[in-house]
Amino acid sequence: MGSVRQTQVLQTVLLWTLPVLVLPFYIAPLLGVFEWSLSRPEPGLQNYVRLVTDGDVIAVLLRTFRICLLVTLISVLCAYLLAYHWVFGSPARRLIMEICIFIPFWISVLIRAFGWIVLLRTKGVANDILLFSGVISDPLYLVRTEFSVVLGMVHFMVPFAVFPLASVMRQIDPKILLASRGMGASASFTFFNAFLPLTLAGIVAAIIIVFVFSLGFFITPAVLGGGKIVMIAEYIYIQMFQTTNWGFGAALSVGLLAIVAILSALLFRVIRPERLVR
Amino acid sequence: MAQISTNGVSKRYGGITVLSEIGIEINDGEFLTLLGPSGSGKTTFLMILAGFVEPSAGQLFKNGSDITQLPAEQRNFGMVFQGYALFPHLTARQNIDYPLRIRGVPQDKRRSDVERIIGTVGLDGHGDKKPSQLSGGQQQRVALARALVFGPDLLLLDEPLSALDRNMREQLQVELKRLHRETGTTFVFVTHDQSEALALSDKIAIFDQGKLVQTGTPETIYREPNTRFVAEFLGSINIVPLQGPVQDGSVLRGTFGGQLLAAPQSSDMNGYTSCCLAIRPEHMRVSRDRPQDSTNALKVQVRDLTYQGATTDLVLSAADELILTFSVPSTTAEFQPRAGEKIWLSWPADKGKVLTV
Amino acid sequence: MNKDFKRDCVDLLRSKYEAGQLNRRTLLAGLTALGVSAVWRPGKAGAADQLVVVNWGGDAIPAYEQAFTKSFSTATGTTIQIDGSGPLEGSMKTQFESGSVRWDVCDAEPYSALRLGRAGMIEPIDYSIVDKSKIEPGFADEFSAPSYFYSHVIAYDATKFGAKPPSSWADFWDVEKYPGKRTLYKWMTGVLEAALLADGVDPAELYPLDVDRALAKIEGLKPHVASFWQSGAESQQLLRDGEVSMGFLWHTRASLTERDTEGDVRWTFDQGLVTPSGWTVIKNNPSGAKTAMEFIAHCQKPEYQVILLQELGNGPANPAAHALVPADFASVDASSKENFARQIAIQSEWYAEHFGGALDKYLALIGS
Repeated sequence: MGSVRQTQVLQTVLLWTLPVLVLPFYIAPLLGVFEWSLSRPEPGLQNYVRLVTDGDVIAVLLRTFRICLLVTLISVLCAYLLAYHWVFGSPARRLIMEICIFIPFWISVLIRAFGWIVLLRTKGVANDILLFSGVISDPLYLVRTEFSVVLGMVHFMVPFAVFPLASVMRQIDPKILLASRGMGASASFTFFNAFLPLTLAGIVAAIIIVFVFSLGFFITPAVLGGGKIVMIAEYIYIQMFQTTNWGFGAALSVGLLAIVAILSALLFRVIRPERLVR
Repeated sequence: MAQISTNGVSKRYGGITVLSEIGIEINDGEFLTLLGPSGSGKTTFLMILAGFVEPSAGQLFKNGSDITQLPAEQRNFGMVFQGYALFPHLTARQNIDYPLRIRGVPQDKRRSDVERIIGTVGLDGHGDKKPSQLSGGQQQRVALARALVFGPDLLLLDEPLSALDRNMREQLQVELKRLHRETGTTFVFVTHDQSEALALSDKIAIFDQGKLVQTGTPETIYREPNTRFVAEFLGSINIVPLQGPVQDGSVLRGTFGGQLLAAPQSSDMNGYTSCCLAIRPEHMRVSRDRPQDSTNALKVQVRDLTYQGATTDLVLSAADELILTFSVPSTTAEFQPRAGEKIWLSWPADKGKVLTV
Repeated sequence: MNKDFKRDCVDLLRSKYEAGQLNRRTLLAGLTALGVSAVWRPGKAGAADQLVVVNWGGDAIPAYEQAFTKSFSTATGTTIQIDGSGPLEGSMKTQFESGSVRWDVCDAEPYSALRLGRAGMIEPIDYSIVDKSKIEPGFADEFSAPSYFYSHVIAYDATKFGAKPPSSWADFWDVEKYPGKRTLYKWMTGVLEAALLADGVDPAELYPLDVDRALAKIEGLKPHVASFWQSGAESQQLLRDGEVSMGFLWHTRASLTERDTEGDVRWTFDQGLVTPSGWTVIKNNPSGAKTAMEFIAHCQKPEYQVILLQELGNGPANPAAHALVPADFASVDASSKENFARQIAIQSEWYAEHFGGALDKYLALIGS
């Protein structure tokens, strides 16, 4: 039978468990990476100078941002529709949405990437259908393009965007939408003046979650990009394992981490994630 | 002419009938209260009036034209929801402005309309606050203002006062009456609170188990309840079963616990083997001895006394375990019963009401 | 999931993992997702009583067992574990720097061995144990000894070009004479040489490679490159499915594709870019340098080299082995005198100096 004192001790222990675990297993290695970026191959800022001056590196960064923005835009749009049907649909439709959301969620990113290859390659199912139906006369190069990379990434990211959106949608009092209708509003007026503003926090959360997550994509662009779509995560891997330029790889990691940190800070500032938890 | 009327409106969900054959007339400028316990169908009927729920059968008319199929957004009715349903992302002023924006009212008129209604509902100084910064009563005022600002043909209110504390509720009852008087809008008000219904309404419609059981002015319904349900639901009343009822001209006679009781009854009671006598407590009196002048008197024992300030509530038991309630003024020196004491309860014969159902 | 498809997924996973594009955790997650984690998992390495040999996995694991490790275990009593996770330069460097080396003998890129060796991370080959005379002349490096030879060759769709097959990188680059898409190797080894040869550089004057000239030539071909492949299986699939009409392939994969397609895909050693793979020993390896060198010496035996050729198509590192090669394998023997003459040897020395910088530029080009 816990006394107040015992409860306090337990609370303190539980409260400190995470920081104590984070410090040696996360912060310390991170400081190591930071140290590498300033000391390899020799001490100095040259790795960071290269980060902001080397055109090839900037091209990789810009490509990464472009693809991630595109993926974010498409994912959040798709997720918005999915979340809407999931939250407000009939039980049957809700079940379909749950299958759409959860089944891909449980399949490894690699299996999914290969699945897209099987589906989209020149002699794949998609081309077979298009050829058979006469829509096209020559097979399309669907895979090993930026298109297939974006497709594969969107497919992976949509469920992650669904959750914050569904969460804010569930918090909307259905009477508010009824009230808007009752006052004479059309469906689109209600959507833009009531529904959309009320889900804005979820949209911002979904955008940042998807964008930050996309920045770290490695396998999908590597498998579906035909070697041509090198994104920042793979570029870091190349620096670490192929060209063993660890100092520069570390500087790239620190740079990426900084971007993610800034975006996460924005997330917490703008939407207060505790409001999304119910 | 009736502004709104319904004819045979029913609602079924699957095999369950939640509303059956509701026919009602709502006059222009009237304050109608739909009163009933929860599950009686009153809110469903309100939602059908609003257009949010489609009736399974029956028609709705507005100024004689059929609006059964007219969508809610085209009915031009105002609605105050239970829990208010304010837009949490908009200020009080923006909430009130919302229906005017929908209607494309010019900016200047919108501004002046909003300011005027803010004054009317007593929200001066609170216009720029978000709903979360307002008290329950203030939120209620915003909801009222939002529902009234565009001049609706009908204002529907779904238990708008139920979430408020007693003082705020009484204050807003007064305000509602004033708003009704000042705007001249027809109000349809849903509540399960009978005292609220009595205080506010021009007309009360009593719902029970999906049926409309009685419609009338508060006085009529209070004085002349059609059924035992209505009698018991509205105000407090004592019900005494009557054995061996015999019709004698315009008077019905029967017995309870060996006492002969009488009540006025015009319609023919032949064929009824049992019925009840309902008497409002305010028509009753107590005395230590059987009053000589009174036709109707019962010998009762005081079970319990509860001091209520101005009055003292008595719980009385009569023959056959029948429990009756009664209250006496606490300060009267005339007669103060004590617990366990056997006393007489009496009432004039013409104040009893015969109920067959 | 259908059993065959599942097996195919495992194969795909395995080959990705072995090509170094997957980390172990992702791989295991993938295998678990398929419900086959018990079927195959990468070996746990590093026990003191056993020798850990690291190669690039897949078919190479059973092939190495047949060719090298079983006989070594029988002869010495040392158990051998083959780890197919791939001795990438970065992985070897990580092992050395972490201070806990788990690998004894690595089947690595000779230029990686050179680079890391010069940084003091690699045990020099002990040529008192490893017999220099059993190595193709000119390939006995300071930090690695050839394990086998393989080549980067032209593979083509014989149904289209069978009548007049391509025989040079100039033909490979000629999309008018040989229409269709191409595939090149994402990790660049040999691609720059191919580009320079296509641009008319004399094979004898190839090194030092003119990177800018090579990249310019590659840029010209880029619109016709459907994919820069990252794994052998991927390169095979591209040709087998007809997604490309010509590819820059490892000769082992080219030969497998020829067999799989019953001759619809063919390939040539002409202008092939041949290179050894190098046995490399990281300093402070768990079983000690001597045991590792003894294993390398053991593998030099011609009979074992021929088994590897038969199993994997890898050309013998020991010139004496060619005499033992059966006639039907002579055509795939990348290091036989006859085939060697048709090819050009890749210079590890140049790669040791320039690989990192050139790869950055190459990736920037193909990714633009």
